[in-house]
Amino acid sequence: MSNINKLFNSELKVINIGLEKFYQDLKEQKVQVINVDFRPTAGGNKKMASLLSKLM
Amino acid sequence: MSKVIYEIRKNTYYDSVTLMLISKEVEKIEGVHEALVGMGTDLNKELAEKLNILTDEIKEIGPNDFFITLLADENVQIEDIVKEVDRMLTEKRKNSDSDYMPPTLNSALENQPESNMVLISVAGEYAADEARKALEKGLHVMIFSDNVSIEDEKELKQLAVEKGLLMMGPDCGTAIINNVPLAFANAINKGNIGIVGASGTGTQEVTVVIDKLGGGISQAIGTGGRDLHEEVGGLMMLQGIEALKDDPNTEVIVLISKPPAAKIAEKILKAVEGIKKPVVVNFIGGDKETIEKYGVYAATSLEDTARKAVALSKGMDVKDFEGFDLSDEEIEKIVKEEIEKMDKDQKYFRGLFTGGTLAEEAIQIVSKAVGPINSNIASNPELKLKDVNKSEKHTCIDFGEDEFTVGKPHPMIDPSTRAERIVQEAADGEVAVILMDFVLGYGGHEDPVGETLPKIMEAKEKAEKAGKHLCIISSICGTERDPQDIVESQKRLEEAGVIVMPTNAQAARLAGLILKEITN
Amino acid sequence: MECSHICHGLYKRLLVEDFTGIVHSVFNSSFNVLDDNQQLITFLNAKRPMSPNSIKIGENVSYHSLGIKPKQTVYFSREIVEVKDSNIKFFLKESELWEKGPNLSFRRDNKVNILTKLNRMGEILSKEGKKDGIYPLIGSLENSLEGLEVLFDSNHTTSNRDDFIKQRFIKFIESYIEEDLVKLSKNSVDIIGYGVGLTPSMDDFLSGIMISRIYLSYYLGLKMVYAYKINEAIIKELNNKTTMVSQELLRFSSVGEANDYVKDLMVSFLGISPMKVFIDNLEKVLSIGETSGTDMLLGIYIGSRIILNSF
Repeated sequence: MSNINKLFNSELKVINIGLEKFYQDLKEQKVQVINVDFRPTAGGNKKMASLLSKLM
Repeated sequence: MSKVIYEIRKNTYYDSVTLMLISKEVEKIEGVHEALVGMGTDLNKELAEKLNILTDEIKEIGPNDFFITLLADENVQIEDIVKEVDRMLTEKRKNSDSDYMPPTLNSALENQPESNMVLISVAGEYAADEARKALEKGLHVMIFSDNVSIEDEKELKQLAVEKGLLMMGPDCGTAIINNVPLAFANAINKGNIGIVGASGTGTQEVTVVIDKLGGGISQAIGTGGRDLHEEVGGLMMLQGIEALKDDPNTEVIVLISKPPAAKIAEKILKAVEGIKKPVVVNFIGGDKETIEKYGVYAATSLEDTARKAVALSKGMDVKDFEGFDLSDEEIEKIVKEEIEKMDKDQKYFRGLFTGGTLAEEAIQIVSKAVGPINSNIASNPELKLKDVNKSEKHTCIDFGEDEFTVGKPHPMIDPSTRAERIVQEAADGEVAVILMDFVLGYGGHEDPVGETLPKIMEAKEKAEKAGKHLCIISSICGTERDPQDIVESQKRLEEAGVIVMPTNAQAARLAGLILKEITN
Repeated sequence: MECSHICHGLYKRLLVEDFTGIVHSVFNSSFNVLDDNQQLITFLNAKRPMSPNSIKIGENVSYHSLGIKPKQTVYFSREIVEVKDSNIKFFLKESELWEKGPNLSFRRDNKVNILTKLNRMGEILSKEGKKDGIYPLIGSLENSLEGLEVLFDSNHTTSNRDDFIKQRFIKFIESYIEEDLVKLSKNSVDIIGYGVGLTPSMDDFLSGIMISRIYLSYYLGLKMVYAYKINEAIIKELNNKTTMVSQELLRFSSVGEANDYVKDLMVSFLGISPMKVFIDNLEKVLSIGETSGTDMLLGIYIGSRIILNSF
């Protein structure tokens, strides 16, 4: 079974990154969801962020 | 044979959500008959006694000590229970009132290791990175953000295809997976129709009409607005088609998109050609014959797409629908009544939309009646509005486009920009008909109609004072299970003198009829 | 970390002396410090409503993730609170003073509106309230009190473990209706501390019922002294019967001191307020804890029914 069809057969468990409204809406519908309090890595400095990601 | 097992942790405090979780989960463990989890208050100890699971040690603890006591089969080991409880305590799985919000995708995964979908709506420049990380961890992804480069989109989708994962977006506003609405989507009945859509409000309108007609959705996969561009090559639509083909719960497949480049259209249609399940294709404004060559049904509007899909899902005859729910007489009556009240200068159409695809469909239908329509989304440069804040002759505006949303939320979240425009249009004495959409569902404003009504009433009054009759027609894209109250919404609009039609297509069609009559 | 609010009483103390405390318990959105008077000072993050004897910060950070742990020493001074072991500093200078006392200066709404709002409260409790706390016990009050039918609508059943508490619960409510101070003290001792939770469900219920008495006594122009007396009787014997956190909550509630969500709710309930605001406040209270919000709201609902039924 493909991964997508596997998804169709499982319970949806969501990680929300971004607009908190989407997280609240899913919570309201009793969907299992966790919200990421997103902060750009290295304070938004993209060059720094890509260097950091190479380390991780 | 059963025994009492207990665990005591002095001066230890767990938040209430965790305690409730442990309480419920411990009872579910195989071999456990009775369980009590709580703090060592006299009352709780009394309860433990009544349940015959009080031990001497627990009798000794105080109200600030945590305990678990349970009755279990002989073969159940305390170590296993403790291990399980510890796992639950550190996992903090359920959404707690304390709403733990981890700072990164990785920490989120640590807390919710069985996650399978990541919904991304951070600024475009960060969205691609987060999506890549998620795909690499084997998670399905939906990117609501736009402003992701097309190169990134292609790379992400290729990665997703490689791993057999969903990569919905970027610029994917709507999806319904396992009957869960994601981002801007409606509460739709469960059923056997599966959708792959490259258009957010297009998908919303189709699902809403399916629901209204008594049909239901198995899945609605979004692909993002650019999936069928040449550079991306329809990667996600093809992936979605494969998945729906193999999905036993999907018996009818629906494809929705703006007209793709000819090569891509061919690729997509070839992919659905051999499928045993019936397929309905709406390449909005696309050529019917070309589509039907591949043995699939072509739809002429979003409503028609839904109607055909529902008919197929119920094994009924498939018919083209290009009319109205109301009878011809009733429609004639409305047209007459509206025109009678207008003065001779009123002749122009103004479409004010929050949903992009709904605006496109309106343009397509109304232009059949009045000729070319100016717009901020016109592909023909001659019809592109010079100043988006000033309508010219027949005009249709999509308020969700960049020029209106820089530094401001999308009109489906904040209806005020469009509402203001209604009053502006009313001041133009040559305006005859205003056409609008109201999109309900999750993600959107909690009462778009309520927010807009004061401006509608102001506009009508203004027009009346100038001796004009402003004809306002709208449709509501929503279902009875959406968080907004659709019945009240319709009622309030009608009380304010707005003509509410059952679908966007019918609303546009009615507008077209009225405008045509005016010019006659 | 910048603090947004500090409880006025706490601030007044810090003006005259510094003191230390020990971290008592840590959660994601809050942590408690036991001070040198054996009282709990609660630190809240931005997600939580401001509460009595608390300090609230402006950020939505998780205290767990900051490395704060039980038993760490906390140093309190006028401008800074420091948890030295985790190198965390809370800056108090810019924080707003918060009054924990009940808000008893609102414009009273009329009886009809209040009963309408009370009915909505019942409906919303029935539809959205959590049924894992004190809710199953409400059914046992069928014969003791009018106006509870709406709560019985939901399909929940009491488990047999609730049986032993049911009789005592009925006795408590009856002595509450009778306003018999001696019986009240005795009967509350038989139920305090019952239930899952750091604030056991029964305690949340009692908090709700006591808060409703304070606010309703003000609304109806009754003698406040009497209201305090009744609540005092309820918590008279509470020493060591329940968790420290809950003991403090009960003490605050007995004098009408509660968090912002509960305060806002009571003011929009008994004061002139749009229905939407009242309902929003209801939802906020319902969202507290796991069942705490529901249990407290049940206490407010039943307390309100009891008092309003006799006027």
